[in-house]
Amino acid sequence: MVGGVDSTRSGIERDLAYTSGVVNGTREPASLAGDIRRFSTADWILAGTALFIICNGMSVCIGWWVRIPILVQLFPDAPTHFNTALIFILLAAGELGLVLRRRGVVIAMAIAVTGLASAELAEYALRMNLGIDTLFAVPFVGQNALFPGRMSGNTIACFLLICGAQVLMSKPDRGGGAATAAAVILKSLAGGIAIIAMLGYVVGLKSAYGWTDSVGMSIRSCAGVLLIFIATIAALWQRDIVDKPSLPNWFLPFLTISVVTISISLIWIFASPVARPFMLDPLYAASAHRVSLAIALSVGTLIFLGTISVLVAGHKAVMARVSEQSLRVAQARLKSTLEVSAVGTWTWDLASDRLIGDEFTARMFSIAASAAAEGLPAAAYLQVVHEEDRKDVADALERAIQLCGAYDIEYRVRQDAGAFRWLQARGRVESDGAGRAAYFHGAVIDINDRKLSELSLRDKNQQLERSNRDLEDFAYIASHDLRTPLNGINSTALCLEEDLHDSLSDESRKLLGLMRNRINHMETLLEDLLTYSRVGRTDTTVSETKLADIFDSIIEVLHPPAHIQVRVEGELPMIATASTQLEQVLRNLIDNAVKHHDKQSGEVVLSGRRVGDFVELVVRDDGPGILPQFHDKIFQLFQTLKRRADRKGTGMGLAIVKRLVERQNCRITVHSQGDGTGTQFRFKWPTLPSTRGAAETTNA
Amino acid sequence: MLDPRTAHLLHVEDDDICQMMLSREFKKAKIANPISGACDGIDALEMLRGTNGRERLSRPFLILLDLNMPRMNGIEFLKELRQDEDLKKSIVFVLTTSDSDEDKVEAYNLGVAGYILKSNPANAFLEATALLDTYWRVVEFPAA
Repeated sequence: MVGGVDSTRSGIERDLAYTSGVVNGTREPASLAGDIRRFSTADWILAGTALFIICNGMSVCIGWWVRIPILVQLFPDAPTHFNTALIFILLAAGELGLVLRRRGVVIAMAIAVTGLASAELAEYALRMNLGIDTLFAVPFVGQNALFPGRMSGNTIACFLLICGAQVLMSKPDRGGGAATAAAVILKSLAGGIAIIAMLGYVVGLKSAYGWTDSVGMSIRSCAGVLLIFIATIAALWQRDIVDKPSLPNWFLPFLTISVVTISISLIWIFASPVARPFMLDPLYAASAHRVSLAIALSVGTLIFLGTISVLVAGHKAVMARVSEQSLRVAQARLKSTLEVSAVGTWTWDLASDRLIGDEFTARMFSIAASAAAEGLPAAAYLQVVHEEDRKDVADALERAIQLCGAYDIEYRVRQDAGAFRWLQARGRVESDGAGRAAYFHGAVIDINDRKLSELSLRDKNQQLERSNRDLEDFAYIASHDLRTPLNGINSTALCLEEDLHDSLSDESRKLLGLMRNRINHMETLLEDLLTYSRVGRTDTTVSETKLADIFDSIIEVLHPPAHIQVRVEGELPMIATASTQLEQVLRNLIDNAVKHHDKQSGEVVLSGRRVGDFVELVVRDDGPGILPQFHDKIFQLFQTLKRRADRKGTGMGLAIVKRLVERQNCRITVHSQGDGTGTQFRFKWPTLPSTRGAAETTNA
Repeated sequence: MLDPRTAHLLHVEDDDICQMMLSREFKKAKIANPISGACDGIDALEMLRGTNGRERLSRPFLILLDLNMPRMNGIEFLKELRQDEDLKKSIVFVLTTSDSDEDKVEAYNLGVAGYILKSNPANAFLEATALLDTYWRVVEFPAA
């Protein structure tokens, strides 16, 4: 995407996506396993804490039922009552409901908690015993209290605060909104109360942990509330602060409340006349000292917490700047690379039909860069495509969208000057969570030079093929049409010879003989020319043959003279190929070797071996050889190296051989010194692998 | 019955040297039957039908046909021949330089009695003559 960088999805974005899924009705059916799979670190913190508290609560309940004092109280006179434990369990369940996003659960727990706590509160307010204190368990400890089994006022306050916070946070829009801020405030207050109570225990200040005449808030309750508070803050910190460059808007209220609570509690404790013994030290006797101490401690706390938050904020800002910097560098690098490679990028938002293109893309389509960067409907781009290509491009786009797949097409775009350029466009469709096409990302590449040279090459190829065909046709027709009058000449000469046989002088007879000789020569020439022009036009069916069989049929026709031995050396491989053409090559080579052999006795040897997809064949003889300077000439049309009188052939044999071999995209080479040590002709011939060869023959 | 001594040979061939060669061979073989020459298919039809001021060829006759001719070639002539009520039962031998399979198939489809290839000019006409000589001596024809 041009300009945008997607950070890793934090919990908020996932929540938002989830929420929008709910709103759009495309949410997955709710499943516990699915929800647990989506847990972030923050969720695990909360879930873990909740489970711990539930276990704790269960142990208290069990302690009450089974009457185990150690499970029930840690300090004498401050047991955890059954109802307290019960409400803790309900609150923890509510936390779990928050984490699993089951609003119903949270509301249910909240109702239960509020009901129970309000009842207890009513008991205090109305100063009457409603019997709920001992509803579920009979107290066996702390019986010397005024109202055995009754929750302390602080505890009730904490419970109501926490429960209120949970309800607020269970709202579906769980972003860093006002609800979260309010919830954090409530939980911070609860946490504050718990801290004060804890400190009260530390300094032995009853009023800190016992607001009313009832038994005070037990250590366990303090710990429980603190745990919930800390877990919530930790989870929010993890979710909202760790990955984000700026602080969420609940952070400052949280900080304020924490600082205020701690300060007040410190002041209260140290200003109290019933403080710890060391407070009664004459040095600290004066309340002024105590107050100043308290103030110092609060200011210290303020500074401490303030520094932390400033550092956090600062760090976040620095990180943001650094990542922004590296982002800018990466973008610049990408841009220059794309420019150099003549590549442009584009993104098409399918829902709103906005196609955003970068500078290069805009330039290619003759669109203003600013308009392109803002986003235009795709039709604006399609319009610039060459009329002939437009339909294909539209179809390809449509197909890619339908299949949510890839897109790769070449087309022309009209340039300002009326000319056009070839572009290659590639892209891919990105689908939304529900499998529908959402975005289309892609690139355009300027392939004009390459395409034009490709097209010109294709044209030239076609021209070449055409002229080749014309040449072949010409050679065929020419040789055919030239033979007719030649036959006429030959016949006339024959007749003359017949008629004048007796009355011819020796000289005239010789002349006629020469004429007949040349006529025959021309006939052979024309025949060879015909063969040459037909090379490759004849039988091209592929069949599996034994080279040995080809060799045998050549020998049958050739009738080599007795003094020259024509044989095969070694094992000839089996090949699958157009055997007629190969036979022609071998026949010409062997014929040539036999014809030009000059010794009293000699040999022509054929050997071959399989080399991968080819067979390498060698025809060698021990004849006069060919001088190196003529190695190229011998393959030329009509070339022979002998004088006119000694000439036995028309000089086309090797030209035909070369043509046939080169038709198979192979090469033929001659190896000889020309000093009477013989000649070797080597060439490769393709052979199809056996299975394919067999398949070809059955399909042919 | 086709009397070998009266049968007329129509040689349809555009090359006059070939016509001459055949006549020579006939003379050498001492065959007395008359030979008429036509230079192409149109000429041959005129002679067979006696149209365009030409004298109608005497029956019975045998046709020796070349394939490569101007104006109307051998195959076209054959097609015309087989459509003519009067001429469609004519006996035709093809004597040509064309070695192509298409021509052979087409000729036999049009009912030629034989297809002879003029490969070796020296022997071709000699063999053709021998063939014709034997042919009309040995083979039976219907009375009409």
